[in-house]
Amino acid sequence: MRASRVITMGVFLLAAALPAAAQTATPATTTTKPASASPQLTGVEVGVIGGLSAVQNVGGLLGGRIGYAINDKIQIEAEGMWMQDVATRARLEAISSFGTYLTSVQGKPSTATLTAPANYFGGGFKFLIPMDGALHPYVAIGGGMAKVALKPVFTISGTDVTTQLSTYGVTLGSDFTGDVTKAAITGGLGVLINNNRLSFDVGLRLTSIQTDGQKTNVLRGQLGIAYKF
Amino acid sequence: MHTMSMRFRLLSAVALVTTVAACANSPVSPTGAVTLTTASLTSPANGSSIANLSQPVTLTVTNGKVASSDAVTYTFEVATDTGFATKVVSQDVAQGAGTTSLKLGTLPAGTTYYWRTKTTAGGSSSPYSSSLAFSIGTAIVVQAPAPVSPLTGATGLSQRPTFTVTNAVRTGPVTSVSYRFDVSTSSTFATVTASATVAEGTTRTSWTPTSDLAGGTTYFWRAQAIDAGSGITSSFSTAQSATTLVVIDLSRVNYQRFVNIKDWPITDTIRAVSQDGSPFANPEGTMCIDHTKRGIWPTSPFFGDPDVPVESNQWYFAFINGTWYGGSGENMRPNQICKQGQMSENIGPDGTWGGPMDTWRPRPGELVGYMMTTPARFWPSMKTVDERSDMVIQPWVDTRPTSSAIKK
Repeated sequence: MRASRVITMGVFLLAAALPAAAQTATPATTTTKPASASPQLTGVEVGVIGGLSAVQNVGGLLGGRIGYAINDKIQIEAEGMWMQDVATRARLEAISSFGTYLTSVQGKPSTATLTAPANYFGGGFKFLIPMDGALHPYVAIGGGMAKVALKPVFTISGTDVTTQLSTYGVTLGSDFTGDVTKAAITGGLGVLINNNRLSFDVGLRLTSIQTDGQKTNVLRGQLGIAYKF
Repeated sequence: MHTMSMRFRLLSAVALVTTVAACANSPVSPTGAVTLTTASLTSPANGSSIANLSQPVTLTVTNGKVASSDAVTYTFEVATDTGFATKVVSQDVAQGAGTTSLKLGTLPAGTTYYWRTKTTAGGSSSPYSSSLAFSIGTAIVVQAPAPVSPLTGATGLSQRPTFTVTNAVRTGPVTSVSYRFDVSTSSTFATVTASATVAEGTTRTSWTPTSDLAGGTTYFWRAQAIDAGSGITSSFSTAQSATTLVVIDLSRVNYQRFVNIKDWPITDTIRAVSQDGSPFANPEGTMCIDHTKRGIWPTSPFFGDPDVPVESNQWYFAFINGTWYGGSGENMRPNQICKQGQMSENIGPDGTWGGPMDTWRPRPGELVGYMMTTPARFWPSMKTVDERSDMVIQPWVDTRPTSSAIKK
């Protein structure tokens, strides 16, 4: 819930920021900027992110970001995203064993699995390597909070019995269901491609969510598109 | 216009992200930290009937599944009602290997119980399992049988007396009751002389030893009832003590200089022995042994004198220093049963027994054996048919005043 509020707040801030950015950006279209090695790298930018996230399974990734280029070498950014499934192998194997157990106890084919969509909101820095031309490699570090939602699915003879598990003597704990919000740290690298007011970001990130027992390490491959104000 | 369009697209994208992010919520709330299952109740099976004697009952469950390495405990509950309002047991047991068991204490008999369990680990608890029922059978109580005979103080028992008890009072599902009889020379029954288990009689149960007990011995005896079905035994009856008749083993008697008559057939029965070793008796030292062959047995002449026919001999048996000695006493004329002059002080010396009986002086109350035989002297011409009577053993009588009592 906390992460949702954070993201909602981020969206609100983003929406509020857009008119101001538009007001300040408008004159920029009519004035001539001073000469610079990479004038397109500075200023505020707002964008969206899409891609893939992978832990044990590969899933989609969708998010947004706000960035501010302090100079042509450092950007500050805030990002929020949804990752489709960050379930770890250990958790998947553990819950699968309950499917086996139910099969033996109920005498019917049973399965147990889960998905773990996650929301991540954080901030960080991009350290760019200024280069001539449109391509600018960078290294990114950051941190934030991730909310992981565990969504188990139990079936017996093909019927979803997840919400009636107590009938079958199963008590779900927070190891297989519920939401957990934990700190997360992120590191990665990528390439910024500037094209006037649009900025394209192709990057890889490794986000380590500090879940109890075993860290959840999410590999993200993402593409971002931002509008520079 | 371009700016407005771009801003609208961005807002739309952010709204989409927000919507998607909101989906990252779990539909099921956790109960505790660990996912686990209820254990499976294994035994006793539902509806089991357990004999009261088979207690204690052990409850066993197949372990539930727990998704953690936390310590697992199982809470066992036993109640007398299906709602578990009246619990008689509620106990946590650490998980065993594969199965987990709880040995109950002794539960009241004749009751149906319900039991269930739940799993606890890592702060999570499963719901209680469905309950199973088992019942404890009615208690079997078998009281000690009551001795009937012989009771304490009884004497003159045969060497194979019959011991009798009143059947034991019992409650519960008794199947087949038998009785164990013990006979011992010790009041503590440290050593059992004879013992046997016999089937129950209609209202009383009796047992007769199949081998002789020692004669003249005080025995203690007791009995207990045994229910074969349950194996329950009663306590022992109150021990009784009774004394067997003194008997004389003729094969072990020292006959001194007289004939060994142990193999002579018993054709005669002693009716009564009446004697008095007192010199003041009338007649003095009277010795009468009435028997059924008086006047019947053939006679022989006394040392060849046909005018003195001899029909029988009186026999006396004395217990001297742990051995029975015997010898022929007075010669008896046809149909004669009494002699005189058999005073305590001279029955021994006058007998010329040729052994320890030569100095024998029976004391009042001393057990003496009596028998009648056809003439039993080592004088061939005096013998007739070689027959004898049974043996009677009774205390020596001497009615003289105490001040003149016989001194050994």
